[in-house]
Amino acid sequence: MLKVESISKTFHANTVNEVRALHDVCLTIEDGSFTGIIGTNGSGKSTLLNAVAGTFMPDAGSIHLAGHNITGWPEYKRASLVGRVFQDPFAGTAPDMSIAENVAIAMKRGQHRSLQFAVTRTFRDDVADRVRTLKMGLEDRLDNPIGTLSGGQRQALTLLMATWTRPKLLLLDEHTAALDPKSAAKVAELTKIIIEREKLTALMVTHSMQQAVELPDRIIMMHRGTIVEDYQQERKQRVRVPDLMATFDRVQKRELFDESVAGMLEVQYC
Amino acid sequence: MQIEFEQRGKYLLIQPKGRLDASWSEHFTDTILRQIREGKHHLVIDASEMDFLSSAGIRALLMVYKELSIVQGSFAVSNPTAFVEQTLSTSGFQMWLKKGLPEDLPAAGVGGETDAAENSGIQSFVLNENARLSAAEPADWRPWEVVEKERVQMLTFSKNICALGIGSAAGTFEEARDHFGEFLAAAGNVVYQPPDEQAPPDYLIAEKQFLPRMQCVQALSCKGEMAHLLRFAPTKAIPFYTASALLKHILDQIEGKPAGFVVLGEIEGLVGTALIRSPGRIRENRDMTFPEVRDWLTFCGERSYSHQQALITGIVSRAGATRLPSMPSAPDVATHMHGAVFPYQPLPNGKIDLEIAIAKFFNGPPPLAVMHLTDDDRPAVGLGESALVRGACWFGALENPEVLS
Repeated sequence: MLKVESISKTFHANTVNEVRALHDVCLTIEDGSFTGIIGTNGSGKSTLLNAVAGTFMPDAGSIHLAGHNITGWPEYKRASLVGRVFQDPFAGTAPDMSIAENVAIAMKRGQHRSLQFAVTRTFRDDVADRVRTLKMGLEDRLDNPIGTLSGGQRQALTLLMATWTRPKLLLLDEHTAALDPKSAAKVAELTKIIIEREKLTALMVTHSMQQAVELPDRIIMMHRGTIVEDYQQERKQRVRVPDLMATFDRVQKRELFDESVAGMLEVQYC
Repeated sequence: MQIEFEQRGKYLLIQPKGRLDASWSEHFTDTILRQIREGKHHLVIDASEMDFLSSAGIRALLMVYKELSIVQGSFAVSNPTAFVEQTLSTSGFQMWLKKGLPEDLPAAGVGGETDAAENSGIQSFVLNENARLSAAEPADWRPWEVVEKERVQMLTFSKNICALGIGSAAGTFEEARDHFGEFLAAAGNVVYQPPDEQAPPDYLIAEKQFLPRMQCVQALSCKGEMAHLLRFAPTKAIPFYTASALLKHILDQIEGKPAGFVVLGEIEGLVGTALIRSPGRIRENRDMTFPEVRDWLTFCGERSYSHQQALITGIVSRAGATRLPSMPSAPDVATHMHGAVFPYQPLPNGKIDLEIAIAKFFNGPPPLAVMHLTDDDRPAVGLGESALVRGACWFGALENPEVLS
């Protein structure tokens, strides 16, 4: 279970560039829940993901994962519990190393690594079996450098590697945004299959309303560093893209309703 | 496929060249429907260079034909190639086929915009010189007073009433207390916005013995018959009509007398506000200031619902003649009007019936919004006033404007 308690983060505090990225955010994600985070640009969704991943320390609040208070843990230490897939398909893998070697490194994430052969025959067979589930024909190319793969193939492999050791939490940061539409659809489909098959707890940031409706079983909407909507259970089941768009519209309307609008309506709303 | 157009008198001559098949049918339909939307309701397809017509192509022609039927237009396929003629004949659509072009089709190059009266500018009709329209204000809540039970009126909206106000369709005051929101009524139909940002508008339609009823905390109504009809459509010089421009036309036609009006028109942009919390929840008379007012009202924030259809009802007068607020964009005009938004459907050209035209929208896809229209005159950031591209405006002078004094 992930429990985020009242975390806040302000970048460049007390300067003209001050950005209040997170403000008193509270969020509990039960084990096995797949939660999507949507929001406008600068709403704080990626910042929330990075706060959980340990990219920076929050100014206030605490983060608990799988019974551990990880608030003060550095990013590398959290890697034993957290798997991540980034927006850039070329991040998170070593391009000059082979598929098998990349998987071998991923398998040891957060664990002690010793000097021994990582890629054995048994290991290769195991990797081939798992990679075959992607249905991309990559099982025959385990010795190819990962840099020779397309963005979609690479992102699918990254997803597989991030979930190989069944992390306590999988973080997906707009992981299909940089892919062409066909590859994005394929990776989105794989995401749902892998998360359901492995019964993972996952947090996914996305700009795609369609993806938010179709993939996760809960949707959180953020705006200006706070959570403004939380669709779960029956509400999530019936929510559709136009409903999410309407919610965005509502949030933005409220923001545009400033003191000058109030003054105008004072005269005209009668 | 290439599609060429030529306006000849009231006819739009369409010359598709190539294959009308699955690859092109959607493009063909969209292109022709756009022409219908612009008020071109008499279409002649010159099929002399249409090489092929598949079932997808027939479906495209059928969609165009249905749209034209709705607006009482006309449709013909002239000079078909042998293949097209055989396909349409054997498919049962021989009624579209014409051997030549219509007899009253002007010669090429003659008919540019000869039909301007029907398709562009302002066109006025007197519907009934003896029609009478009387106003009433049966409920007069003002923001932000406590809503008192004895001042709430149950109003029934028969087909000869147009109205606007704040109300609820609930049966009793107690049930309605938390549900008062903006509404408008016309020709036996009521559309209202529940005071909830997430709730879609709802509506009531007079059918058989049923007449819509609303518990109203605020209502302005006009009862009787509209004497005049104004049709408006864009011209090169006037791409759309602002609310104040239309209202000035109304006042000019009836010598400046206060009037009730109903407008149906394609939206250029609407500007308005709506309750998101019922006035029934107000516990004491008060001024509502920023930021608290944001918990009670929502504001559109941008010119909204472009290309959809608006149904607007209201009352207009010269500023000072009634207690209606004047418009910042036109200080000599005073009005109170509410607008409902419906998905777009074309209107027939010319003299059309209010009841029939409105019924089509209430029997079609559900409404999208209801709002109190405002004229946003804020310096620099103001959204301006609502505007329509084309449509119809029914209106009549009020015989008892003193009730609004």
